[in-house]
Amino acid sequence: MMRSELSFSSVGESAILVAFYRETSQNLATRNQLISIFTRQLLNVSPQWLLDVLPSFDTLLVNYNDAMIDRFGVISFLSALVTEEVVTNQKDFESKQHCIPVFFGRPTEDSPFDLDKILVQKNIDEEQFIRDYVDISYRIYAIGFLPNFAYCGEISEHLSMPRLPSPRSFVPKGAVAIADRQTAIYPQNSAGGWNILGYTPVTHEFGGQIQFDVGDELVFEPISHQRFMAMNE
Amino acid sequence: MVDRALISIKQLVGFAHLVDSGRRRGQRVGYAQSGAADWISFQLSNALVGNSVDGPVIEVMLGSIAFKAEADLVLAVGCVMATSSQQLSIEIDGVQSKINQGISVRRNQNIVIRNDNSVNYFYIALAAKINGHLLFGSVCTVPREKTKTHNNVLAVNQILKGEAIDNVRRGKLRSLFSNKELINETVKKVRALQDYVNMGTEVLFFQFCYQHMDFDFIQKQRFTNSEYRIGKEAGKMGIKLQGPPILTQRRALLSEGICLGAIQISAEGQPMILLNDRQTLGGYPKIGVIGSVDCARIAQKSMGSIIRFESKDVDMLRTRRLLTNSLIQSIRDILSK
Repeated sequence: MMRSELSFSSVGESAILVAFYRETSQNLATRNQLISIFTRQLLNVSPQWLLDVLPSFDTLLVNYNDAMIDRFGVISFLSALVTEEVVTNQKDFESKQHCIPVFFGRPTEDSPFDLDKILVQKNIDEEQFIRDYVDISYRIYAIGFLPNFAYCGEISEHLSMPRLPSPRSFVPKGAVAIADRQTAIYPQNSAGGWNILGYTPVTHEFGGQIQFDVGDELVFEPISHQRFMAMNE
Repeated sequence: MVDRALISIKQLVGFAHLVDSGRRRGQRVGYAQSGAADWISFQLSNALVGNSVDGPVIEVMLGSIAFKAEADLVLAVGCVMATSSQQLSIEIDGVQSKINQGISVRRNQNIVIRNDNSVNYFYIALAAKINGHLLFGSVCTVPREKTKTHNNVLAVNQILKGEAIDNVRRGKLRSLFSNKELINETVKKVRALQDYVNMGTEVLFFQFCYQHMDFDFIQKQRFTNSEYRIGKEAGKMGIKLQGPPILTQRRALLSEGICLGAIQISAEGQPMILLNDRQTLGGYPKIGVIGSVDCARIAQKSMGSIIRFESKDVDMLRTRRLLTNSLIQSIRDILSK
């Protein structure tokens, strides 16, 4: 089933892009799950020629050492791995769950913040918005843009907001933000155009105690300003 | 770990840091691949001092550097695109020496390398194990990531530490460097590498791939029949080009992994070639990928340079890379004679 829906194509002399054909019947969450299982299977085997893997929403980029193997060798290896491993292991797949505390407000007066404007625009009260937002366990679809920047989805349709018309030149680390039906946490200070709902105090643990991976689940836990300040010390 | 002083930086114009062939297995958590922008010159500099071709060296970007040897050393300054001493010169205690050649220096000698800015990058390899912070097995630093490898960025008065090769090995290399026959052989092989890499300077070979099916025949023809100019925004992340716009109806694209050399087309139809420090994921359509040999070549081109794209089979791109590898290896082999 799955093998017939996947395409393997060369992108340059040392990478293969694994993707679903456009007419696939699988929805995005299933496609993403199959990609993350396949990624883990490939990493478990870790052939010597494998330089790096880059899973995203519904594709996987495989970088290989082209002095050790050619594209035909890589594609036949990947095809074999799909049939042998991914389908059989799909049921056994277990993802990690990360619980991220969030203060839905401004930690300091000058912290950039968009939730108040969103509430007015959507004519929804704060409590309801936060409840609907934290009610969902989000899936990490991809990690990129910055180290440990996890693209998660999907937030409820009625909470979704387009990106800001022009990005802010400074978004503080820990900002929890939304864009369209995606949500993410800024792991470090950077520029950015997503709508900021609040802040988490735990970014220093990203990449250490908190290791995000594609396919993991993220849940948000609302915390008070006082708790935020205490955890941020 | 041996931690002896190798060199101390005396003057620096531009930017200098440690680089190697790049990180392994960091892209899935959002870290750029990184690595030397001109991998051919980087490997050449290592080959000229008998190092493994992937080991750490100093990458000097858009500038010049002066440093003092803090130990007896063997070093090489590598830059395949520099073909004359007007472009890139090296002086040791005021005496002109040669780039793209192994050199032996004594402790306390002063080395000055000047770049007239006709090349963007050159590489200084030391016959030594250079100590640097590692991230995903690499000394490379990507400024926007703010990682601890920031300590691998060099500054004036900084002392670079590590372990130089032992006296016996250094003595052997010194005698090879004074053997005229071997020098001539090295010069010949370096020239062969330069001739091969610098051939057809304005043409970049690429493979149609990624979303190329979303560009119609006319757009593809325009892409391969037009000239593009390197714009102001050019660096290790990527190079923005200016020229006839290439249009596609494809809009929504889920972000996907971007490989080295990918040619991304902006909403306005302008191409951008993505290089070593590119962001890992992107959602713009990509029309193809340039080969790794041409990634090294375009990284060295200055603002305003004109380039053209020529479509090739992916196996042709690989052949070019393997041939370049073997030319570099043949230079390294001379030192193991």
